[in-house]
Amino acid sequence: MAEPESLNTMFQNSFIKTGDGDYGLKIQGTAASGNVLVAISQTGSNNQVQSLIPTAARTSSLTASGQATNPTAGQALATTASLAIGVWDIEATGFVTWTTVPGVDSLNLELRQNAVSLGKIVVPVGGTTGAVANGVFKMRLNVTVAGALSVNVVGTPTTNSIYVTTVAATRVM
Amino acid sequence: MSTTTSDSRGVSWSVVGPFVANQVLATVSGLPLGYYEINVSAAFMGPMDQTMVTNLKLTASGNTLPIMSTSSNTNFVAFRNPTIYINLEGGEDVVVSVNNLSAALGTSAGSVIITRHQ
Repeated sequence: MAEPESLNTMFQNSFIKTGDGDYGLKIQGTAASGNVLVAISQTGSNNQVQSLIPTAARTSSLTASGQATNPTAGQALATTASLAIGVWDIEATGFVTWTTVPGVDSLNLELRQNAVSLGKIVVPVGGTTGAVANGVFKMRLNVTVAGALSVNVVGTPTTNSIYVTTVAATRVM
Repeated sequence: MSTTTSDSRGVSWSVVGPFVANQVLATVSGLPLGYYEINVSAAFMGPMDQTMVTNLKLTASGNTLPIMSTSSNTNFVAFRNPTIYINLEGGEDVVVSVNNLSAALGTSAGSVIITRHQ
């Protein structure tokens, strides 16, 4: 193998053009495959170095929401598509209205992944008209077994209560 | 890739019912290609109609995402949707609209804030 004539020659294949005036330092593969560590952008006379988030981190969120009057114990109110193996940021919210027994409904929504409980959403049910705000549950989950994310009712709710929930999951690694 | 700083933009709405299916409440247009964080806050203020609780949707990049606005009997309750991240190809609108026809005479109000991360 011939010696490179200069450093420029030596590294010329390590940089690939990713846009007009933009170059990426290649680890392996191509820019399209996401295997670019950093990007060098030229804006006017300034060169800027920017870290690139791995392709997986740019995944659009999976979302679901649901509402039910007089839901049954164990009922899934919202179910997302299957979460692939990886690390996900998850945010779920819950709300209960038209209830008269705060103690029953304030801790009666559970977040599950692949049917395994992750924790409960605390819903601030403070009076006879239901929750005074939405309950929020946030976590980062290392998914080792692919499966859907769901928000389920745990026990039998107060008669005539209405449960609502929304959940979003974003893969970060 | 040439964008190294984030920018945000937002649109709010306040619309009195009744509502028709697919009625547009807010539109954010002119978004370039990028990776976006979307936050939606919404509420429904009486006269109460439970059909409005999950009757809003966010449409972006060919995807329809649910938005939940809550109401508690005659009380007003604001709600913030979970943060959503989405890739946009550029030239697409992000739209908040009504799902189904509703005879509710109350007011749907809210805002959508979009931040470009990359």
